[in-house]
Amino acid sequence: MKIEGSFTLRAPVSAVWDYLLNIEEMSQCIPGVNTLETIDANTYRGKLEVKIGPIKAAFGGTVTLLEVEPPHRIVAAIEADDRRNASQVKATFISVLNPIADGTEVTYAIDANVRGRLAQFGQAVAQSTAKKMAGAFGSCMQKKLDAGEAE
Amino acid sequence: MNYELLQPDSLSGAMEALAQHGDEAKVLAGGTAVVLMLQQKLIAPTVLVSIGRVPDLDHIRTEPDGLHIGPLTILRDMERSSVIQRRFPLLAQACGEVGNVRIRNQATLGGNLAEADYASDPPTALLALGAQVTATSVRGARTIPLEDFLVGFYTTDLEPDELITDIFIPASTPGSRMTYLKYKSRSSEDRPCTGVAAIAAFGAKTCTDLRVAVGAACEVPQRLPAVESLARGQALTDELIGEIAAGYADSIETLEDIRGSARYRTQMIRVHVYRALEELRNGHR
Amino acid sequence: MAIGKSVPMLDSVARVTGTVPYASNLKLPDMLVGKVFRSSVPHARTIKLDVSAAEQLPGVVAIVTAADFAGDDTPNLHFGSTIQDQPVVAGDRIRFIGEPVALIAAESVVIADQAMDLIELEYEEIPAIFDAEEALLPGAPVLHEAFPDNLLGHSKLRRGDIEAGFAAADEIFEEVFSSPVAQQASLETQVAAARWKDGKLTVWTGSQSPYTVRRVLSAIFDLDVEDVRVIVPPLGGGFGGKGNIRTQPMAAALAWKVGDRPVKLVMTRAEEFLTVTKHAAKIIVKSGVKLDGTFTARKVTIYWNAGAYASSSAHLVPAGMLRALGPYRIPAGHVDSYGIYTNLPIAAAYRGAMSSQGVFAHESHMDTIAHRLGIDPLELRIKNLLRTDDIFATGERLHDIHFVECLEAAADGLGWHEPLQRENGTVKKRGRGVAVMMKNTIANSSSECRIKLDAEGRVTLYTSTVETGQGGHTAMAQIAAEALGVPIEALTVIGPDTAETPPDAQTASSRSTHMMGNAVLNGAASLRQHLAEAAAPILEWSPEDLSVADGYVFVTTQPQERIPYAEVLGRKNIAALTATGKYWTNEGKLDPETGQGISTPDWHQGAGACEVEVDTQTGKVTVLRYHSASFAGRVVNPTLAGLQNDGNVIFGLGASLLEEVAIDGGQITNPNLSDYMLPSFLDIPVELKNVSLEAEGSTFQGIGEMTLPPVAPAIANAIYDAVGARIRDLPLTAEKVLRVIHEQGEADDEQ
Repeated sequence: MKIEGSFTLRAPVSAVWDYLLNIEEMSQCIPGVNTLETIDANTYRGKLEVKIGPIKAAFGGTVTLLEVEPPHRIVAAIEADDRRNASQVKATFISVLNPIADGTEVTYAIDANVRGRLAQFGQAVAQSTAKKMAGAFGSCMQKKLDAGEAE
Repeated sequence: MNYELLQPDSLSGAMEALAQHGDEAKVLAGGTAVVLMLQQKLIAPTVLVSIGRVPDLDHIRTEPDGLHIGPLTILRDMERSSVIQRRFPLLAQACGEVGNVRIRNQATLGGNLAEADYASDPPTALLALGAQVTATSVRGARTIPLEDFLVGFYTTDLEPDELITDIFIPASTPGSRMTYLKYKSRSSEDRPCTGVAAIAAFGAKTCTDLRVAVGAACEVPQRLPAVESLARGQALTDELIGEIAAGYADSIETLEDIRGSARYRTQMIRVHVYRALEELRNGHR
Repeated sequence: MAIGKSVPMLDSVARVTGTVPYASNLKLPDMLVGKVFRSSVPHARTIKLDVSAAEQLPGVVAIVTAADFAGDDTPNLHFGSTIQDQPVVAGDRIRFIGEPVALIAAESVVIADQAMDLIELEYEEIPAIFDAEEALLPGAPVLHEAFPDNLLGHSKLRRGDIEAGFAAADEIFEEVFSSPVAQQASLETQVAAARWKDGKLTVWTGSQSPYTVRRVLSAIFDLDVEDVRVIVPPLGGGFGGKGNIRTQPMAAALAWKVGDRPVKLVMTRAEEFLTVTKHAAKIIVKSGVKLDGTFTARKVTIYWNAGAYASSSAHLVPAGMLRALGPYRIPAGHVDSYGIYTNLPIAAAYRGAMSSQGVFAHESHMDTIAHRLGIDPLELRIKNLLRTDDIFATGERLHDIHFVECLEAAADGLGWHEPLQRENGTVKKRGRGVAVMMKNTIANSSSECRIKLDAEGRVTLYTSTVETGQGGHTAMAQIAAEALGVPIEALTVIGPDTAETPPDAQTASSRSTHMMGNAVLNGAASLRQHLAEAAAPILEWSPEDLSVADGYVFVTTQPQERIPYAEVLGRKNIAALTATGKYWTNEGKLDPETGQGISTPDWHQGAGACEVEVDTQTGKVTVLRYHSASFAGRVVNPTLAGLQNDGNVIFGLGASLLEEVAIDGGQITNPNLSDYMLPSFLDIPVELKNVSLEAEGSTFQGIGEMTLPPVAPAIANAIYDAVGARIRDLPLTAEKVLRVIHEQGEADDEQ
């Protein structure tokens, strides 16, 4: 399953990059992330909760940074599982930062394999959920960036 | 599947059960959706509150301002109700298009709305009709317009302790024509690829009011008042119908699933909004 | 006369009153519930499997893992009817998502479900491969060390000088066709119950192949075949999916571990999709043709996606080879049929197995050629169709060939030469299409039965033909009734039960009416002989002078000197007379390098013709009229034969227009009948007609599949006829049709 999208931020690429690479702080902007710990420079372990109507998913897993090309491209591998739903997600995540007139365009492309019970939930739901999360992430990040600027 | 089954025999009993168990409870009406989700282990409630024994939840009642429908009314009764067939034929059509007769004899209107499955017919018809949902809890009752009630995939505005107790459909302008067009991209008993519900009132030569709802192709059924208003006071010419159909196709963010890609969904919205309006103009129904 | 009559199915009352004793409904004393813990990764090395917590859950009686097969005195982990590559439960290697890893026997489904959540599986994922053609590339992940190129079978057909053939052609046509993974979708899912007693195993199961199940189970548990008993109640549909061996080893292993209680394993609908599927196929067809429509050469390459284990693919891949060229006179024909391992669930027979995919390819291809050459598609076929005494690509001389009659019957029924109103001023357009098929049947196989006549005149037929719902037992009873000269009401059919009913290869490939039917004829002849011998002393004539028919033994030259069967037995004080009947074929031994030899005792033949309407704004296809024809040789039961013909068409509508198992990274995402779409009764063409062709002096021919494979190409050809859109990948969805219509519109705009 492939999920692609983008959002824009009113901040220069370098500021966005710095913020993104501060993984622990950045993760607070991802809706549903409730813990994130650093294993080593490139590996993080965390938990993510997602609710789609009556269905609750709680994923635990790792994020590994595979490629980091400052200040514009990052590639990560995500492996997580939800024991209660007997489901797993295995995904590669590519994000590219492009300078635009009044800030930065953040594009993302996720190539995910969803396995187990949640797999039959369907692409439509997964795509929409990912897009909503990206939107929420973007606005959260904007706030943080604005606050950072103000400081 | 480890859950306690509660079968309250009064509305207050049902609401107390929901108030007590909240998010851990799931309401069981016809069971056509909940039982599947339980079997697939997608949900794991600790309590199932069956409302089948609660009296007076399956009414179809005409009042001066419109029609009140009880949440336990099965879709088959919606389809066959003479008052619905006469006053809101598109709703009888939409309910009659759900699944097959075995499903329609079991599934309820309230359950259909509470599940908020995008690939369904009645919500689209009810949105075009301007339906309102009454949700009741021990805290009281509130009335929610359907466009606010349907929030997203399988998601409604209902709080965990709330139960749908009534669905209200305001009376339409006398002489309105209405239709529901279900497009099935696969078998004749499939869920919709797109659904279009349209209601038009006509003056001497022009359309005085138009309401069009599109569902199944998008996360929740949608109306576009700005596009609908293009028809007001105008004759429904081929050009105008085409403009309205294009307005819907261009504005609605479509989804992709096994019944069609997002691009195909957009094409189908254009085709079926056009066909629905053409049908209303030509007065076939 | 019982043959040729539409007698009702023997169990018709039970069918409509819901009392058919399906294995799914079987209840044995003290029976436990079996459940399967499955892998969630497509390809992995198992690091650790811990079932200890699950084992301690109250109500869990036994858990089977690969460790139970690890000792010297334990059952064998691997099995297979041809290639023993499949483990009862995955051991150190997992090869597809949904592969069984552990088996649970518990007091209830609820307990078994809870136990599933307590099983801990640790694994190391390794690269997986899902596409058959890619699996053949160097460096592709390897599933089985014994098959380093992932190739489980490569069947070759080589006839004539293919290069000279192409060189002699005026035009060369090459097209690529594909068919997706599909699922047999029987109403009754796979089921097996097993019980061990005194070192002997009894299995009750919904299977099309009871004797294969017996043989394979005896190999797994190192038993004599006589110590395994397989009982098969009527099936709620088989369609190939219940052939070979499926869930029976898991049920038997669970009961073996439990020891003294029976265990029943019933697949859920979702598990059904993990248990067996239809082969996805990519087919490349290349033909050399003269401008007058004669063929000079055809080359076909097929990549069959077999999934993770060989199962029945080992013998289906050669069958796919035989059916690939189509029933045409082609002087040079080459076929390469590749069976390929991938990290997907096992593929096996699916009604019209290995024919549907190939017929879609060669019959769509025929229309492409016909349109380019400006020849009517029906005429191009009739000009080239094989006739009796022609030599087929295997070198065998053909007998009982009726392709032209089948095709003409279907086309005439539709009114092929009548004018067609293509448009009626709306956005809908109509078109017509035809298609024809050939398939070999299972060769080098035998069928055996036993017939018992008792002193009350009742006849019991013991047969291992499986009643799948097709009416197989009714047909056998009709054949026996006629051959013995008794009313159908005198017949009782028993079986399959390997302890009671003699061996039969399997109920598959539409072989039963022909093979078991002839075994019944032979058995009845033998029983008549026994009757004549028993009656000879009573009538005081020698057996050679006696005839047996219509319930009497009589003197051939003086028919009034006669004695009823029951009286023969009564006066001789014989409780029952019993005879066995056998029928077998020796064909099928083909040269492995050239495919030359005699491939099949008979060729199955069928055709279809249809009229469709295409909505040019949505791409939606409606099949308005469908006429089918199959060659039946001699019809046993016209109603049941007609239902097979029509049932095939309805079944075929699914694979043609709707059915596709959606797979994402090896994970099936639509394992339910809401998202995996089957045709409904509302999708049946308003005009649906069929013909079962007979021929003077012909015997019973199989009709269980013949009208199915033509459905997809007939519809695809009709779509092309209607809107000029050629779809080469199944299913023929509305979205694909609309896309091609639009592409053509754009191409036309550019011109």
